Amino acid sequence: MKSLITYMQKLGLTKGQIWGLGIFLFFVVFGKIIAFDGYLVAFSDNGISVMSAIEEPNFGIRAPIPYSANSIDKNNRKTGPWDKQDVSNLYYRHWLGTDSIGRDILAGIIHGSYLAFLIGFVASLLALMIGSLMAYLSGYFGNTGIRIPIRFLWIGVLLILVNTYFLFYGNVRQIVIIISITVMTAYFLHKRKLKLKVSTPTWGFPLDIIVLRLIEVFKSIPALFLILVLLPILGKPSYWNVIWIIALTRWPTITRHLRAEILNVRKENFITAAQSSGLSDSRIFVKYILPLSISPLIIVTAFGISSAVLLESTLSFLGIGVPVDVVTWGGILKEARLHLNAWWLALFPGLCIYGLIYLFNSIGDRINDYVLKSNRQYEGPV
Amino acid sequence: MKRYLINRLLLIIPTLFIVSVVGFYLSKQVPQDPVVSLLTMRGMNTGDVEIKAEDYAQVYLELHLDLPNFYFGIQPSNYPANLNKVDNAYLKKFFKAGLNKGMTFEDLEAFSNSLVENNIPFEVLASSNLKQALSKYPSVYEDYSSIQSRTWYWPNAHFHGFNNQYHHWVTSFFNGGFGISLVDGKDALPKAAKAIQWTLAITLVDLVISLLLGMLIGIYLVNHPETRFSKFLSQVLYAFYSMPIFWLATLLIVFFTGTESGIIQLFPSIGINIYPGESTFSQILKNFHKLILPILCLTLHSLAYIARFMSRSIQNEMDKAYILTALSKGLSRSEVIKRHALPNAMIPMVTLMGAILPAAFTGSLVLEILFNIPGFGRLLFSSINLADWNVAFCIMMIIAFVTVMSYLLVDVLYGIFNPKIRFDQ
Repeated sequence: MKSLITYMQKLGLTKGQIWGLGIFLFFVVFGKIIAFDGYLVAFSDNGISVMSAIEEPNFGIRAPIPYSANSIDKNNRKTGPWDKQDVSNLYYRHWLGTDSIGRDILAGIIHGSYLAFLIGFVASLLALMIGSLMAYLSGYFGNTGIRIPIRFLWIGVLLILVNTYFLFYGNVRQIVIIISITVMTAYFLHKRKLKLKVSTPTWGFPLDIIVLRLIEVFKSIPALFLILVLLPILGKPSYWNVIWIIALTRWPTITRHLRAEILNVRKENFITAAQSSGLSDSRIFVKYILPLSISPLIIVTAFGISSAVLLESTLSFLGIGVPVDVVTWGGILKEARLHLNAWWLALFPGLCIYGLIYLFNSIGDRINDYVLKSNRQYEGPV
Repeated sequence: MKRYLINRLLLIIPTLFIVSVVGFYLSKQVPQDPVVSLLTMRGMNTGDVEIKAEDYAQVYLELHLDLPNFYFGIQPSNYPANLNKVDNAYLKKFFKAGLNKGMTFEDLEAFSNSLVENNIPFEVLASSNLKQALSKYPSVYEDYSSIQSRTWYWPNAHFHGFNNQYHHWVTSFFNGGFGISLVDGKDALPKAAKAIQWTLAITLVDLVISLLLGMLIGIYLVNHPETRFSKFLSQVLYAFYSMPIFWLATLLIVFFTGTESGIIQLFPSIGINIYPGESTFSQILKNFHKLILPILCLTLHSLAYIARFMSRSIQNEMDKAYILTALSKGLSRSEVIKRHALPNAMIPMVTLMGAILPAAFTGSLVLEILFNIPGFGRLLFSSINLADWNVAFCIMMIIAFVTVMSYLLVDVLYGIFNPKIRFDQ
């Protein structure tokens, strides 16, 4: 924990950013305990129960905020923070007001932080996995890195066709079999290639061109359109669908940035030296390319989280994707569209979305500046 | 230069082809049945009576749904050459499920024929437990349970020629047809053309203002790096840059459009006045005071982005050695920026321009929904909600085309601005 904070400080993060991150994660982890409408721990005649809704226990501990995100207070509908509220004492007061059916805004915001975390982090991690794999492959191998001897070319073409066919019409067992056959053949061909003479005619697999075309295709279909179309195709609204789709629309950006960074590293002389001294591709990757691409990875992740949060809140603001009963920040903000006189519905959830996006944007910028500065020191004075 | 342009233009074709194939594939996957939507629109499906099979078949033919999907198909050999010839929705679904399980098409067809002979309606096939439903009809139950299924078939290729659905769909782009809207029966393209004028009105005003003002602010920030005002300005810009457009718009609506809790009524209320019978352009002009608020929201965001980008890209140049040379020659800082740093800093600005137009389209989508402007984004949103897929995919192809063309434009401009790039290589 302490070393993590030191590492973050080393990356140039300010104290405020670390505190912001900590507070956000605190609410993500403990949100369900901070705002809960029952008893956290209740001692009744039947024994002890945890997180229960027992009406009258002998002794019980309640949460600091006595409302869950979905608990409805019938007496206080659409009451603002300053308005007179029909509550028994100050403990039950709605500090940030309620929405049109009487749900507490503060509890909604605290519970919503979990979903913001889940969608922001998981979606951008998924996007990072797809995007960085594509970037490493296309950046490192380029169009000439993977060379197939021409007389084995037909095997490659056949394998691609067979794989595509089984992805559409095969069952799971057949797909697993065909993919393992492909991997084994590729390994065999790779081993075989090492024994070939230099003069053997070969054909470079245009991996870089394929990845670049793929990025162009993804970039030219508007992300929001892809989301709007894919959500009804995938069926019932659930936030896992939203996570997958956000990851699907985010990876091209990540690949583009990372690929450029890896191309820069690839041009360095020490990579050529390592290759000519006979190091294998995987070893060069682990020893040189991976460590040098850590900081661009972190920067891309920070910006990726902020844009995933933005995309998710836009979707729930428009009322698509996330199920109705799941309370999200964008979902509370959506209420403000229908009730223009309830200013608290517009202000507080929006402030949270804004704060999170601001936090991750500024973290990304700080690390970016740090990397630029340290690179300049590395190159020496100009 | 010429060769580069031709190369680049040729590379567009595969991209647009793949985009159109993806779009077509997605349009075939959506859960709604276009025949049912069209019948509903024509008043033949009132909800309380089942759709007549003859009506269904007629519209099915009318929408060319009986044609094969693509130029060719590679499928397991138990599939027929063209499954789309089956014009009954229940039967088609049943066939698909059976073929997927590995039954042959001949067996399934024989079973469906025996259903017809025994006057059993195809609706039976829709029930979740088919065997139980069929056990009421002993004459066909035997037929169904005797169908054998295999786990694996050799693939089989079919070539369909140009008379297929994808070909009709794609060529309709060039004929200007784009199909008809399944909601009101009008042509899709004129609908989209009407909507795009509203979106262009917003985005073009936004782009012109934010590009001009953003570049000026960016230059100002580099020119006066240490003053208190420029520090304040860059903080404000950063705040607007991170601010979600829809939140900014909601706040402005809540506090400044004169509803009950508004502080002051600075802007007119949201919504567009429609003047029937007038052209879209004159409607935009008459409603322009109502467009000020959405344009303001969009501009504040893109202005902040462009100004920050501009000042960063000049700052990157200012750290280079040739600037030091120019400064030591005795030129003033503003002179150095104008003469030396700015031309080089424009190169990354050009790449930004390619991304900015598609981004403005997406940004205006939320605003159009929020402000009830009948633009491109709202049309897309509402047509997807109403399952009007012809209009939706028409819009998608237009946006894809605009995006690809703007990337091309950027690449060409990049070469013009950056003398280091030679097109011939």
